[in-house]
Amino acid sequence: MTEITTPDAIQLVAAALFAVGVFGVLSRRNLLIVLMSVELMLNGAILSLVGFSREFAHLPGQSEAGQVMVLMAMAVAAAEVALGLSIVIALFRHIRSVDVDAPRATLLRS
Amino acid sequence: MEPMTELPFTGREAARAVPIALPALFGLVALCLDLFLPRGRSKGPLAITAAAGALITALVTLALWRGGGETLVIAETLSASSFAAALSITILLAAGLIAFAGVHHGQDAPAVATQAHGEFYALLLFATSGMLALVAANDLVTMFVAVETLSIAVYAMTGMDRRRARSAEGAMKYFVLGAFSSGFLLYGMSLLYGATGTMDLTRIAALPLADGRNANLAAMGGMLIMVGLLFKVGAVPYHSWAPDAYEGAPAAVTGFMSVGVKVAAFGAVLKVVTSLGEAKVFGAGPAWALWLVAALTMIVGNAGALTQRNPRRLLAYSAVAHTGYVLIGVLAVARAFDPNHPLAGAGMLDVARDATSGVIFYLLGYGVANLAAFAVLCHLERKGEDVDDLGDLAGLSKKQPGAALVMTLAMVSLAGVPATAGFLGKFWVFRAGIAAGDLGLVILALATSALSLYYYLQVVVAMYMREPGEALYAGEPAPAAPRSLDPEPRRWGSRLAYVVGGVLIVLLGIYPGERLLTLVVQGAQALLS
Repeated sequence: MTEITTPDAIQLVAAALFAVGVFGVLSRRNLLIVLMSVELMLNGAILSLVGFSREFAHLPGQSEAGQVMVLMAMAVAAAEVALGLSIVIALFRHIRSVDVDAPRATLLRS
Repeated sequence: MEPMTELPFTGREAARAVPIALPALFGLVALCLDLFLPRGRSKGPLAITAAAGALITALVTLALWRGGGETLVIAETLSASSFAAALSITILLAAGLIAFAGVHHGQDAPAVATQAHGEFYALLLFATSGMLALVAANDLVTMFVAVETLSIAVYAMTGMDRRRARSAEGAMKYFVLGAFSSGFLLYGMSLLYGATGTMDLTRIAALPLADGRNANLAAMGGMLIMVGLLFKVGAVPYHSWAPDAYEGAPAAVTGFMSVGVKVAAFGAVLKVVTSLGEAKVFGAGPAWALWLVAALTMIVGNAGALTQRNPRRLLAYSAVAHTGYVLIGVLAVARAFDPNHPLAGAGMLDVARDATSGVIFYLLGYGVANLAAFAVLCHLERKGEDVDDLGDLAGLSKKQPGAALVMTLAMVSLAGVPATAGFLGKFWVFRAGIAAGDLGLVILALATSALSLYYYLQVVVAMYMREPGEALYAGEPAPAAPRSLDPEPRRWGSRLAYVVGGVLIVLLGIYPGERLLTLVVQGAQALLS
């Protein structure tokens, strides 16, 4: 086998993407980059679904389940980012910043 | 490819999914109806549409999902069972009562932007649709789409008062953490799919997963799914969004999300725990993790509520604490599938069923009390501003005895005092917890419940033992401009909601009714057959 994209390689890349996303959400202070990191997490999960779906390619019925999930997840991710950006804009109108540590973004800290 | 000769499902099966479609349909009706209402006027017709939608859906749900017969419909993606029906009742009650409670939101607000939005009703019903799909989901794809349907609608509702900074900020926090948890949920589902080759929870439950790569992969996937769902129910350490989102959102939205989202997500948690338990994916390790989460949730929730002065923040921490109590029941279900458990055997299945019935009833009792409390808070909104301090409730018993009485009933029920719905739910869940061998956890729950009386009764003290304009605590300066608590004659919707809530608290606590209890027990049997 000289194939480069073995299932395990796909899973490794997917896990790495997901981990980069988690790290981004936890470490970044800019809301837009946090949103991008969330998208990276979802993309990691989607890539892993694609990989598993390919792994089951020879089994009828099993491969399709993963592909359906990928399509659904992409639609959901698009809806989520649209809402997320609109909330960022709504918040920006109040605090004039997209930084989670902005001095005016402390209304709800107790 | 051979030609498709067999339809994946029949029309009869598809008809059993109608309860999920109905709220969305009514949501579209509300959206269209909103176009014909003059701007800035009362949204009464929309509230009636939404409540009628919830009522009709409840009747259809009970007719189609209750009882025996085929339960798996539409290519096994949905389980139209009594379990889904029993949880749907609480969700639909929340949708119906909140539609009325929220109708006066921003009625006398100075700015047009904070006045009632017609979209509120459409989003409320879309979210309800997602919740019903979630409690009926029998498939990971359905579960994910349902979680996102309800979450996206609720994020938008949280940020509805976009001219108020707090609303936007609460929505932002809820959204970022919610989307973060969705990532875990999706990745966990992917790993579970990779281990089993199927998205169907029934098939996953029937799989013999021997040790090895697939069993580890499935266990990891299951844990990530649980993390994603525990975010939604607000369990510690995934609770940090709750106080901010609860405080930022308008009171009606908070009431809806504290009940609907929690009930639906607990339905999914129970489904996942039983399916993975039957597949032998969850053993003793995850059970201990769940034990720890339950203990921490009870401690952090109750301790956090002690110092709160804002009623919505107080109820947020109280909601976290209640998540902890419900987790005792979930843990009892998880223990039933642990082969090394000292009580393992046929008896544990009965314990698991009892725990599931307890959880279903607990969520109903908690839901009714929370809805009543938030309906009162909606009723007390003035000029688009919610009550932000417990001291503002001083003298409510004189100005509005009815509202004060319902608020008292809600607080007493949440604390778990006998003759209220909250007591029966707690009794049922704690009994199952003891039967499953978690005596220590139940003792902790009883101790934290006793502690919770302090902050629940603080609300009652403010209402009954302080005069209007008097400070809440001795030595504190009296408020400069006390809030008006005079009854407003036009607030029919929120009044109706809190009266219904108050009646239900007492009714469920004294005589829940045989038919309801049968439904609850049948629901548990449908989940653990």
